[in-house]
Amino acid sequence: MSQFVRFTSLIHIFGIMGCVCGETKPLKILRWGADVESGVPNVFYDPQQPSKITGFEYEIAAVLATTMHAQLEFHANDWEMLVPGLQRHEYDLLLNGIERNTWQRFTDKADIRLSIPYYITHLQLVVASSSPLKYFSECEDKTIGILKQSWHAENALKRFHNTQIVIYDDEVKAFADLSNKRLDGVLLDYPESFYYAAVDKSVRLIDDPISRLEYAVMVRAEDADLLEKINKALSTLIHNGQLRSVLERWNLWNAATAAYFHATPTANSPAIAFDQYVATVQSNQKQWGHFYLQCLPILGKAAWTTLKLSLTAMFFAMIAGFGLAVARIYAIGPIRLLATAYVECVRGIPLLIQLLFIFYGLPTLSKHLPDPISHWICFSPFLAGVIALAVNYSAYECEIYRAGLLSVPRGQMEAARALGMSHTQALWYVVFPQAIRMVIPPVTNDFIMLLQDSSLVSMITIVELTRAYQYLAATNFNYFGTGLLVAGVYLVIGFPFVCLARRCENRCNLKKYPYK
Amino acid sequence: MDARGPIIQVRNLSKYCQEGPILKAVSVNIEQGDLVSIIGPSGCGKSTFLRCLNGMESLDSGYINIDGISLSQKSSTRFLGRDFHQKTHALRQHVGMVFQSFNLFPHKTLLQNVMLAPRIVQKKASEEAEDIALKFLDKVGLRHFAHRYPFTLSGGQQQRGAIARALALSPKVMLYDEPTSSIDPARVDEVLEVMRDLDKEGMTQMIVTHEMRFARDASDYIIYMEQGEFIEISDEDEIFIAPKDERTRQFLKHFM
Repeated sequence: MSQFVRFTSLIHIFGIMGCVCGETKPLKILRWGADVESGVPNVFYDPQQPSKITGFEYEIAAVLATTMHAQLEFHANDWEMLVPGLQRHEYDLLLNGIERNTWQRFTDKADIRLSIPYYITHLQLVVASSSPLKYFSECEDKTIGILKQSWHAENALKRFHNTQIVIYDDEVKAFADLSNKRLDGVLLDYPESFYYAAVDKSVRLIDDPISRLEYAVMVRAEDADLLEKINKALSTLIHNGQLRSVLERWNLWNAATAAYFHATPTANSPAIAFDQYVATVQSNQKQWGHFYLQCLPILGKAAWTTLKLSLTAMFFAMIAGFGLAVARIYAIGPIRLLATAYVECVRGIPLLIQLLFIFYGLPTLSKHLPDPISHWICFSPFLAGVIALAVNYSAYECEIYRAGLLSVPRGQMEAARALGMSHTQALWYVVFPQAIRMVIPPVTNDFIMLLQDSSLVSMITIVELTRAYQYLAATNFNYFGTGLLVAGVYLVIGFPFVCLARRCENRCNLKKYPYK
Repeated sequence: MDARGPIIQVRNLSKYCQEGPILKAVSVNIEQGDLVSIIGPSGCGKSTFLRCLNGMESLDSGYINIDGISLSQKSSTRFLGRDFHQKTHALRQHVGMVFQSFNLFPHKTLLQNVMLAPRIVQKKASEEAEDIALKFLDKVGLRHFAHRYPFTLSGGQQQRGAIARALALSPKVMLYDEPTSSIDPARVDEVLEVMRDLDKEGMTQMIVTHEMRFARDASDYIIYMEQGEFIEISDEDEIFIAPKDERTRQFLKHFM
């Protein structure tokens, strides 16, 4: 499988620590973004080898890059964050089931441009095998599940007045609700429906194509050059049959696309990729032990990201928290007030808001700021994650340290001062060492909490444990087993720190200090 | 005793708080080597007076002179001047202070407690500081407890440790703020014994105490304080046998 561009660095952590805003990159590297979660068959982790990405759009991106003489660099992002990510220059193009006609209306508002289509398909209703539904037109009074930001599906359902629409994050959850009978049907793009129906015999497709979807590549409005190159490359791929062969491999070749390509509607070659996918998922369902073993490398990598992020954030949160606590207790009026205001503000705002603001909000200011600062505030995902977590947790750490410092009896400071120590010396040699012993348990507690809160950084394109869980679960339609596995990994990475803290605690032996 | 005059001079020392005056223009001269007890009812300002001598409280008027260092900072502004801090810093190295609640540092051994100030305040080498510490622990009879943590010691032992810690800076004056009030009565004598020994060696000591017997037996003279004033300063026998002031008589009635 030579077309596979090996997926080498999924997690670009230190790679782009600096800012990438506003830089016009030479076309050596084609940075493309897509949602890997719930991505079958577009872009997803290969169930046969979960550390590798595959999918028909992945292959299209690969041949596109080859045609453009560029190297492909993949960036994973959440589906609803794909366009914001494009705008903040996380990647330069989106090739991930972007429906041309839906987005065409927003080109100016969102500052984006769309290429010519590379695939034509339609919406597909999926129902339970036992369902009496025969035609899409029977959806009146039914409950239908669709995916978030799937406006074309929403539009298609507008003709019904009493149809209840339920919106899902990913199709796996929608299909779970279909089998739980919470839904009468699921309305998705044809490829997704088709692939799911192939591996789950309890559902069937309604033989009734709905509307016309044209998949296109999205770029930023300012990159007109890139768009032109992409259009040219796509035309080449349409004419030389490479695009067709990819679609045939994935069993997605259809009449509408054939008409658009001016080609014959019958497939020339066997659907190797499709057959392989179906076989793998079916065997994974039987040989679960083997499957989970294969998940381990990707979970290990994600766990390392979680750990690295949490440790870095905690390190800075502890330093900042300590400074804030000292400022809140010992500093002069204005500084004390500032520290207090900081703590109250930061504690009062949800971490998720801070994270999204720092990552997606701040860079929009970069247009209005002078050069060095505008570069500065466009943090890399990892840096943004560390900053958000550190800022948030510093407020909590501050309050813990403050409690610790205040718990040291006044007499200790007085005795130290009476011995001729300066205020700073007294704090350093007498008050701080005692306060630190007090705060070991709550700080450990906070670190474990931070480890779990770090899952929020999955919102800013970082693939950490929680994100990896969603990918793996969605690709294999398995939330249960992978869920237990990920829960286990969280416990395992948190445990050493609990032990470490306990050892520290025992060494300092708090029982030695019965304050009277 | 000393040709230079009294080692502690207090002139018209006043201090106020929101509720009213704590010290009302008190004055006293204390000679080198004197052991002075301050007695009086709770809340009369004894402890505040002692803390003023150590620069731990600011003064509202008057001045203090201890061994040539004088304090006269007014606390009318919230932030005390640099000058005041420099002086109190110098002062505290000449004046040792012992507290009612011992205030030994719980995270350090007895030896480390005593060594700490010589090392970081007087910048002595670790070995030298240790020698000094052991000398003074020996003096208060705690050499064998040098490596124990304070929580393993009795109240009396802890207080003797606190005295050793203050002595390690070689102060000229020792101040004790109710040193025996939170000690088991059976252990009080071991602390008082240390103070008697120091008196014999010529240390100037001021003690706020409720130990009337000790005040009577050991003091060179006694100050009776009430409502922020020195009601009576007199010889130890005189104050107990024939107090001049009616208020002193009333107070002492409870003890005799």
